[in-house]
Amino acid sequence: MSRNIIVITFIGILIGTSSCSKKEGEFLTIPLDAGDVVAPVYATNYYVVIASGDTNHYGVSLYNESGQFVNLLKHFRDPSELGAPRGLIQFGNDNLLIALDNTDRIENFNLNTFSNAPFFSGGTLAGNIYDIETDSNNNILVIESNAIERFDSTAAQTTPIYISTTVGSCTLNGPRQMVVNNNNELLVTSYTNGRILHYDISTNTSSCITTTNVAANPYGILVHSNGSVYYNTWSDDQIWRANADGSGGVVVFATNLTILNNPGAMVELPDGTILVASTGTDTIEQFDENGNYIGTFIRDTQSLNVSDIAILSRQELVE
Amino acid sequence: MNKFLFLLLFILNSQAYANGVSFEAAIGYPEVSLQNPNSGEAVYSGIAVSGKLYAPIYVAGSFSSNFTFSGRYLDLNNNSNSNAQRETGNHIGLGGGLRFKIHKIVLGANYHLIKARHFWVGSTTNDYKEYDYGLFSYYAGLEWLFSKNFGLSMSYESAAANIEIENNPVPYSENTIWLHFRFDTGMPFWGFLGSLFK
Repeated sequence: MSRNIIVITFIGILIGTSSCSKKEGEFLTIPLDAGDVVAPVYATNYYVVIASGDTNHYGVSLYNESGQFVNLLKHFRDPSELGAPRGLIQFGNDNLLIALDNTDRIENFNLNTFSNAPFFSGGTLAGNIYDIETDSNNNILVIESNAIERFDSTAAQTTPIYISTTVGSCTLNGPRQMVVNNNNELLVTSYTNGRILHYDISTNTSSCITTTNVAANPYGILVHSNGSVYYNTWSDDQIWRANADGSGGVVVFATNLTILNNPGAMVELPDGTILVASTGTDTIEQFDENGNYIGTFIRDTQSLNVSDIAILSRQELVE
Repeated sequence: MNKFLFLLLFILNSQAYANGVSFEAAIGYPEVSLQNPNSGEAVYSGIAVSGKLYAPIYVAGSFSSNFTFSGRYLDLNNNSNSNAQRETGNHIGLGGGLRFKIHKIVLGANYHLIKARHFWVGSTTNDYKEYDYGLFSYYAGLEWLFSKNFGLSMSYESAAANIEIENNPVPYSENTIWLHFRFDTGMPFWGFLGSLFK
């Protein structure tokens, strides 16, 4: 028995002396096989961005394509950044251009970093700033008083007062909203003199193509994917469907102040439905392409006095 | 120091023994090395456990030979583990081999089919990999019999394998010190099998 105890003791000593020191190394690292490398997958996501507010409430807000609030992108209450956002347009995958009245400038907002930088100010950009658009050559167009300015994508004002008050038979008087169609032609609602103005903007010199008389102060306008032009009229709160040049307008939504009151900006959602800013009710209302009312798309604290609506189409990494 | 202790233990003991079907449980201290594809070395230590069945082949005097059927499990931690990054491995397998004993000296060889899992957790890498390999090992040791049916032994086992992990060759080497507890039934193999069905 005592001999067995000695044996066990020696075995214990052997084990102990063998396990004292540990050799250090590194972690096992298996390089990725070429078949394991997965290319990043991107998806197209759509958002609705609105410019809204009145004195002490100006801002730009982001919603998803179902009308759910995502984020306040930018407010303009800071004394160093005052301004009334009047026009919005997507600029590349990651940026948003904001046209601001009062301080008469264009800001370039980065949708990834949520930071903004000056795009343009000064020059002949002065007066009442309204809508902002881009043409097929990535030139930027901005309504200012009774003229339209043009900048290239580097913010150079290559053609001051690109569309002056009177060009051919087109006379701008209180322009509010504009849209560029698939032929790179510009359609502008001239609010005060009741016109849909149709311009050729393919060269450095604009020219008037057609002018259409529209009663009741046209305001918002869009070119729908179905080929028709839709516009609304401020004074009688109606939505019209017209030909590609804005002529031959037919009412698709008649006056109903409980739904639409003082309509402003209009856009088409990816599903083909139409959003209209109802500034009298501080909402954004949704209609189908036949003018049938669908419902209220946005009604919250940010939809106060909406001045512009834009659709953002972004390529985003799928997590 | 260890060689002196081994010799001392050998001199101290001499005893008769049974040579039937045996069961063994063993616990061991392994040191495992995996060579990285970048030529660096990952070194692990931990605990090893093993279970074995001995089936006698030939016994004559102080010589015995056995077939062995065994399972082994290694629980490994990378020696470079820290609070920021850890790697652990579990290796489990079944196999068999041959064992020879002359007096107290034990010699043998095994072959196991192993399934391994490695986990990486930490601020640098979070990953998981599985791989299989065949492991050949040989060992030598000393056994002391405390009775006709119970033996205690120590052995030193050395093993190697050429593993392929996701098309990368990863040489494997292992050195383990084992402590074995063997229980001898004293029954010949066919007699043991017969007793299972009585």
